[in-house]
Amino acid sequence: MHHHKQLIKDCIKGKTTAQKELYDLFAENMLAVCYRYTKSLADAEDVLQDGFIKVFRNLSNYREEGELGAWIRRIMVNTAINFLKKKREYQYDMSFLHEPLHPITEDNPEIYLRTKELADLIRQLPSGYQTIFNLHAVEGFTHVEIGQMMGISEGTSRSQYMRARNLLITWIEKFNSEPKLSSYGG
Amino acid sequence: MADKHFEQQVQERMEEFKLSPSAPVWMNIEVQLKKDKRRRWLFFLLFTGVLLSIGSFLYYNTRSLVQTPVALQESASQPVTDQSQTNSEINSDTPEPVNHSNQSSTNTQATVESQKPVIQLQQPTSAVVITKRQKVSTAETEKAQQPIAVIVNKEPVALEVNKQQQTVAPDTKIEQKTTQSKVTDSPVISNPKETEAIVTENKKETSVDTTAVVKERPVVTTKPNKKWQIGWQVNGGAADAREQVFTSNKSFSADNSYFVSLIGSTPSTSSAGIVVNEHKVNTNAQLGLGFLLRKQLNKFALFATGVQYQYSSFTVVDRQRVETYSQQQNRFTTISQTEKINTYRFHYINIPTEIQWQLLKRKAGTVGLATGIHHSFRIGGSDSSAIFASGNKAAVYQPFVSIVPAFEWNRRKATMQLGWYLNYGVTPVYKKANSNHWWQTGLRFQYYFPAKK
Repeated sequence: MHHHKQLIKDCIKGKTTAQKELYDLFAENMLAVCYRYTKSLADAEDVLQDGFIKVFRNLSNYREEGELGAWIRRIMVNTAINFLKKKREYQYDMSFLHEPLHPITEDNPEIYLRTKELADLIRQLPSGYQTIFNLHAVEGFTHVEIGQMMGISEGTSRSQYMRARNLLITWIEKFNSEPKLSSYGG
Repeated sequence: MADKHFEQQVQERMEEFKLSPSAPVWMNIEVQLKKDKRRRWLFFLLFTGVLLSIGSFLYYNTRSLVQTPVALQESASQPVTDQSQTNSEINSDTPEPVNHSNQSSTNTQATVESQKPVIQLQQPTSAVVITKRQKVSTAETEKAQQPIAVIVNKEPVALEVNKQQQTVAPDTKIEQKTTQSKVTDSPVISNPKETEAIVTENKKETSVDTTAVVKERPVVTTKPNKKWQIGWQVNGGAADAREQVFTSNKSFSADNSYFVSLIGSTPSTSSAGIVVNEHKVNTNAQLGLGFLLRKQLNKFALFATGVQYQYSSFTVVDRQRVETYSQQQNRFTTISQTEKINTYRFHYINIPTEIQWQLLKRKAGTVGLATGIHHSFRIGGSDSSAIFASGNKAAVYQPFVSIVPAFEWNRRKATMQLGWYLNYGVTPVYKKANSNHWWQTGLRFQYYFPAKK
């Protein structure tokens, strides 16, 4: 923590070595976050790049109340959501329709997938489902918070999440029964 | 049912998930951070420049307001003042009597009573210094319809002058060694209240120059000042160019073997794809400074020219993307991407030829519009690069048209002008480019002296 404090101070001063050190410390974790929200590695890297630029520009606003990693992660998530809203390929999937609440599935299958395989499955969800699934299941945001972030109602968020969850569970079960799912990690 | 809840399992798996970013990501971040740093410096320099300018103007003006000692009357050895110094020299066919009387020891009022044939010395002082600013406007000077007198110090004389002895002859010239004399319709040439003059006493005595000549009404010239003004200019802003200035985007199809050679393995679902070369031009800095000459052409227009140094730059992001087409997903997927960022810097010597139109004249200043052609000669900087076709060198002569809405105001001895410029390139930046869309915009500040009347 003390090391982080010094690192942050040096980054605010504009020291390139400190900025690189901070980047190296969090880049791998954060790219994984960006990867889950986007459809291609190039897009994930674009989000990572924009996110880190925001991190360095706003580091002086970091209050040291929470973990630095969590703060950076929150910036990455927000950057990813903005990126999805702006990028044409994602816009169709990101226009949410108010749908009736999908019935809740009680399935809780054991996940035998490797992390990369699970991440790739999440990325194959339609963008809207993918984003809401990531926000709720992985980041732990409530549906009220997701509604505020995405500009949708709490009910829509809940419904989209349930659909995403059911779809993902179906794919996981299918994956568990088949030895290999062909996916291209681009 | 699993031991752990589905969401919990996903969360745990994702916590472990890590991916290594490619090298260009950090390079791009570094470039952007350096650009931020440069921008911060630019803002700092501009801010400091503005502060210094404001500070120096305030200092200059405050100084001239507080202490402007002016000799009201000087020793006899000094010559009679000329018209530019007095602003109150006139001719008259009739003699102008001057009245001097000895009064207060601290305040002196030199009075000329036009109808009385008596000259009285108000105070036996010969050298009087005004230590505070006196207010006299040109309009007030123009009002002067009555003959007035100018008093100059001579040898000490008696405190009271005999009427017959001191009656001023018709051709008497009476001079006063002050530029701030209040000239009114009344024959009194100096009013201490109106002029706010605080006059201190000297030990010498004051006399009236009996050889003084009283001339006719003052001549007030209102012709525009057609003399050249010398000045300097600083400007700063942004420069940009359309992507077409550089080589246009290219794309082509490739078979599977091409992708195998690129990525080292066979793509699972594609048999064809494209390579996209993108050149994106980003806005960058534009700065300049130089000397100017300016001359009034007529009532509404001024001509300005000079020599300036100008710097401008473009940042070109050169990105190559290889994309495969996935039949299953019916979309392109990027399989590799390389990015190169080049900054192209140009140094110019610029000769502006500009007409500055004065559209709206007010007491506070003048609103105007400057239009002109700038002859710009590249003297250094980026010439050609890998992304340009062979022989596609930057042109040496790059003229541009300029339009500048501006506000101009006078500060005693100088004229200042603040404007927002928009420059548009008339010829291509590069000789073989297919477009000439480049532009610059920003703020410019000009400073001319002497002040335009």
